[in-house]
Amino acid sequence: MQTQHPVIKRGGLYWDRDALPPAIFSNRLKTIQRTIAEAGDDAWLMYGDAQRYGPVAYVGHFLPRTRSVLVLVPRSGQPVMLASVGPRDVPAAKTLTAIEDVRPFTQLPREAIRLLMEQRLGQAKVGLVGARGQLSAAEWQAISSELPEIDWRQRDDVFNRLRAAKEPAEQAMIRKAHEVVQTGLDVAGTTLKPGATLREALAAADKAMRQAGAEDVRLLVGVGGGSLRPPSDATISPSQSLSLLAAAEVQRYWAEAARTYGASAALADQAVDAMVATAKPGANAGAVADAARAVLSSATGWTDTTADAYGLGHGIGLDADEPPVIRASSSETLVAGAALALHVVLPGSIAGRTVIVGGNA
Amino acid sequence: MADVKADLAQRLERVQGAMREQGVGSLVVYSSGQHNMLRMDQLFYLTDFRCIGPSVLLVPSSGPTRLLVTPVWELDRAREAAGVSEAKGVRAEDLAEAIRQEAHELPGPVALSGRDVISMGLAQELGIAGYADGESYADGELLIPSLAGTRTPVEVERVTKSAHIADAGFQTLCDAARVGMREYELHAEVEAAMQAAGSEDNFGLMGAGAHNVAIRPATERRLEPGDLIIGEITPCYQGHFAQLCRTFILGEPSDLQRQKFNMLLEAQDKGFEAAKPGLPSSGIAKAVNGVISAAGYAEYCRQPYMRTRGHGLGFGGVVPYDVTEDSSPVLQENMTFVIHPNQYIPETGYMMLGDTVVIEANGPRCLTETPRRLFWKS
Repeated sequence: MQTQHPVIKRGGLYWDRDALPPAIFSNRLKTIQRTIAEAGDDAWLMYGDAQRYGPVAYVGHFLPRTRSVLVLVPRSGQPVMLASVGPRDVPAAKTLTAIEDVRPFTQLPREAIRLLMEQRLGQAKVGLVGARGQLSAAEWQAISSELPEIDWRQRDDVFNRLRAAKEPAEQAMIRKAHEVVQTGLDVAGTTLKPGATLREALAAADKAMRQAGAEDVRLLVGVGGGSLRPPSDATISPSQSLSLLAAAEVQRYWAEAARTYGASAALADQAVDAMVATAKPGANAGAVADAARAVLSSATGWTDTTADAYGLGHGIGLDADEPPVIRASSSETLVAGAALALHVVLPGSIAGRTVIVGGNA
Repeated sequence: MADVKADLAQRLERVQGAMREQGVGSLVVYSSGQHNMLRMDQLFYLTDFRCIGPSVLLVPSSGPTRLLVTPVWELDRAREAAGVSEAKGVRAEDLAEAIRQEAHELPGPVALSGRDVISMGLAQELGIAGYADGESYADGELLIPSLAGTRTPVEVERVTKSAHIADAGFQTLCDAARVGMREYELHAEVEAAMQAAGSEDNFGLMGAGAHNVAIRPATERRLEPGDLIIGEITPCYQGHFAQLCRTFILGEPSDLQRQKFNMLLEAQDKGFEAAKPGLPSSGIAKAVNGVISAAGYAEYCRQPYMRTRGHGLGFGGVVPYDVTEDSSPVLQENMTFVIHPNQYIPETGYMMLGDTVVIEANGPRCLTETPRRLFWKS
């Protein structure tokens, strides 16, 4: 689910090489380069920023704590990373990534053009990954206008298929992130008490998640039947129900879950359970949404659109929000190993968790 | 307490007045929802609403504004914001069409602010793929920042509160730091203390080591005896940032460390003396660099050994922006920024000292209240 984006990632940032050894990234590089060749491209430009960094983390485990990063992956040879850090920050940046050639930039277009020319790609076929949704139009204009002979191709769909099924190490990280989220939800259960402000109570949950290794933490809270929102200074009243959605990022991998305090969330829980039961390998993403809607419809007649407004879920992994979208119209087929964040938000209650399709999380 | 609604109404009046003077019929202010310390949050400036998803404020040269907000469920929170008069929830996939329709009804010529954060996909959907020619929208990027160089009473109140939260954060760092603790565990303590005190965001960096090369994010490293812990603590209160930079030693400081930190204190003093209304902001950097150069570190008064001698603080990056020897803005009363002679020193490693100030008639007044000294714990 969308949450408030911070100005910088400020949890513990490092590369856990035991959990995600370098061999994972060299294998991924081979897979990406094979896909580049199969697509008839000469190279891919993979873009990410602090909000959505999935493509660059997939190829090299790096994430920008602020601003952006661009990775050039040639059809053969080693990738090059341009990171929006100062020269003094390059040594620290290198500790976070499997990519050896890390270069700083202040003006992305200038350095990207220089890199493409250096790699003799001025008249090549170059795929773009992560650029359409995140790269600024101004930067794209500056790059593409200087390199008019490059044949640019959007490759988001091809790339997303590569990472739809999570590898075992990725599943382990998503489970770890989910444990961290559950820790936060447990702590919130002890601190969300009458008389405390939402901000005070949830600061404790935030701390527990960061101390458990979260690189980033997101919390949205709804009071009574009100909408989900970032924590405020509002004081919790007696007998007030609270809906809390928590997300955490551990070693670049996200998980999210939700819990209701002070009220029953039986209906929301049933709807999520129905989605989990339906989310099997080969199932249709739309059928997963239909399972929740059937539960809600039988209980409420589906007159409330709250759950629709918040959505019923989406893929999750290196980005907090990945394909597929869990909605009635979705025709995507779920693959074994896909990670899904499933949630149901109703007025006054919420339920949600992250699951691995075909797994046991 | 200052009147927030009245303050926001005055901001809008100033912006609309400037639009009329410049012949701008309407201004479309776009925010991606990705907040950035180096970029002024213009949508927040006029609405008091810190958006989660891509959102657009439509500002005619007179009359009420209209906010388009994504995701749809953010509409209630948007409507509660003090500067929002009319708001509409829009699905992200419908945002381009909504902007097109709304902009079509606005009085022209229409200017756009946010070109640098509109994605290539959204720009194509908006039909402004030929972006540099400015056919569809005039350039409205600098209209609001040019009017927002100085803080209003409401803004000073919020930056001050934020500065006090930074003080609380650093106090927590001093109390909680202990040998064997992981850097990120300490950072989590600081973060939580500031959130409990009212912080909603934090441009927080914290490094530790016997010889730091630069400030960096916290890692899994465990604190060791003698570590210098350097912290850039930048909480955000109601959309307004303030910053405190300090150096803390896990152990008794050496004479050399004291001596070098005293150099930073002297440099900051000289920087304060140069921070007077009517003087160029470059004078602060020259004053700071003068002290550090005189101590024999002239060659270190440049990147990668330091970054800037300060920067504007408020709702993201604001005038005077980065304080360098080349910076041109002239200081005015009620500007808020940080003055930080943070410096890599070959003998001691990176040391940090920085305080948020507001410029008043006689010079700067520190909003952060943490004593300006080297901190340590035996």
